[in-house]
Amino acid sequence: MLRRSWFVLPSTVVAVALALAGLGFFSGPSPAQADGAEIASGHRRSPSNVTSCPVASATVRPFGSEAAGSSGIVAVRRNRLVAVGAGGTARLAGLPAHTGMLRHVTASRFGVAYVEDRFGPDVVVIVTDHGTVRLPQRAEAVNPAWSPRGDLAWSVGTGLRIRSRAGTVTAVPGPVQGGTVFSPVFESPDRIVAAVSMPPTLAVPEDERLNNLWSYDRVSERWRAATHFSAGVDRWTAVRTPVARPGGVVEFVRITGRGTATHLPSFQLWRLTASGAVARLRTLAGERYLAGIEGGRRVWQVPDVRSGAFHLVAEGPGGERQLGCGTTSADPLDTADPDRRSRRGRFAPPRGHWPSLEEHAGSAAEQIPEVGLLLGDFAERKEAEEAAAKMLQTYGANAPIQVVDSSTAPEAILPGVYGALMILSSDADVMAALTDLRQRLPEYRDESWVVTP
Amino acid sequence: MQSRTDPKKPVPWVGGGAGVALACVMWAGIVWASPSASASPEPGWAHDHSARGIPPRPSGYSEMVHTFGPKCTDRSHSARSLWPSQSKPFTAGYVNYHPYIQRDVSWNVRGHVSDARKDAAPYPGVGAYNCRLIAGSTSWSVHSWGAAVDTNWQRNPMGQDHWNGHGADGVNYGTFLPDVWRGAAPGHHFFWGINWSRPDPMHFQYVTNY
Repeated sequence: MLRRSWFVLPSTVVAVALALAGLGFFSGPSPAQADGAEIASGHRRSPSNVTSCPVASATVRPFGSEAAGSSGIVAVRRNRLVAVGAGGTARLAGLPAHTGMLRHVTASRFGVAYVEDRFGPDVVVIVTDHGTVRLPQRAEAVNPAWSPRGDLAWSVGTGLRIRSRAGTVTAVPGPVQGGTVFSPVFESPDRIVAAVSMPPTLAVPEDERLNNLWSYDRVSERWRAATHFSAGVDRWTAVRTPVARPGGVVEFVRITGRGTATHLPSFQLWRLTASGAVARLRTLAGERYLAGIEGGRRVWQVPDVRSGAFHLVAEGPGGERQLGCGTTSADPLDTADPDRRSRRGRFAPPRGHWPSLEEHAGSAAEQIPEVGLLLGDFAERKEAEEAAAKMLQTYGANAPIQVVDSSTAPEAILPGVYGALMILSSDADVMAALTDLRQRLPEYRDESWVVTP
Repeated sequence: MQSRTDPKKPVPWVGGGAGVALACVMWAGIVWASPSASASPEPGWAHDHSARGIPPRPSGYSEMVHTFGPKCTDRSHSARSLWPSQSKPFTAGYVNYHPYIQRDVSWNVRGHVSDARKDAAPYPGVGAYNCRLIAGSTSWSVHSWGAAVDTNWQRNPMGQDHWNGHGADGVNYGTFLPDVWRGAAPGHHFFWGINWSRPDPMHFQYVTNY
């Protein structure tokens, strides 16, 4: 009923507003609406308890200034823009055609802005009721954000770009040489808060190590560190999805973990005030990222770890409520990132014969590699013998178990230490065998490995 | 069980009694300096290109999770092998990864390096399991599933658009290591991060489109 005209006429804007109201975008979550799924208050239930993603129930064109400013959460879902509210999910029509992957969308009364992600440099797209502006970038672009007076900021990795409402684009270098700036938000019209990732080190050559929030004053053109988190070689801290709240408050998710840990890191909700005070508000029950603020309440992006879909979940007085699915500032998982898409580039594996490798292919006869389960490392041979004895007790005297060291299992154990090794049959399911071993000998749970001796 | 104790970088023949003695000393030095890092498969080693050795490689997030399970669990790092020059030149260290790729990494790739007598090709650092977010992203590194291995990262940092093949001994091994990870058809099936828009030459992962 809404989308028949290509141009947004005044009457259409009224119709859009009425339609969005019907979807619940203006009124906030309603208990009577059947689409949302209740999540227990206190955030104790896992994302898997959230219902599956609802199908888009309508099509809307929320690009008029009246509609766009009140359209609830505009999100990316399966490479399309959708408007998500308590009443349902509606596809956004009338978008310019695109060839890349849509991500990082932000909506305000000034319009909708998002990134068209491509292999290499991206395009920032701004859609307002005055038309569409496409801004090709020279680098990866991420996280556009509107200011209260209609300026738009986004990140290009090494710095920010700020486009005034009049259309002038200013480049702002990041505060840390070699670092990466991302997720800018306007704390006020003249002050931007952004996350900064410190450059890689020899010990941590890639992936996240240390983030902090920095504040940029557009008048003085200076950066100032707003948080002072620390990290080590193994221990890391990340800052994600800052969102601006009234009064110069910025809320964000802080994640702390260890690279060697075999459990998920800790997710916490933090707040930065206009006076510079930083405080933890609470520990979150699991992985989630802020999507925005609707009606004064937080909306979260909660990943379904199996499918990769993100659920948009709104906080409310009676608990949490699923609004729909999609991402605002999170990186979509259900669509391949164009920058990491598999392609037949010059470094992709060639087809057919590859003589330079075949000369090292060993004997012609196919040899089935031995695979085993190793308990270790033990500083003393006696400890390894005790472990081997327990394995023999558990698996029977005929089980192929013996004590090994670097002379007998040189690619499985370091010199100077010992282990107890049980060889598996060639067709063994190594993961099942390891699980079984850990159940039978739980005292060696943290010292059991799958190896090729 | 196999015994792989010899090493074996050929020692230059000097000639004469003194030469033999010198060669023995040099050989002992090499063995002492890189004990297990220079281990080699027994004669007869061959690629295991069966479905066990090179299992199906997932594509995209959901296939990766279906194959490797949840991220950052004890399953994600419970296979391991010993790699030369893992954290320091000629000092071996463990590299931990997911058991799903155990035969491919431990036998096919690691065994290939030994069999080719190129244990000096790796250069620090070498590592796999690491529970971390991708920098600046809400997506998790493939290392969080133990499904990616970085090698020679001190000479091949993220953003570098070429491979520096100089190994721990200073010799230029060209693209020997990347070629082993990728492998000839049917190959070892690791996807090389140098193909990404922001090249990551140290990075080899057992999933595509993520």
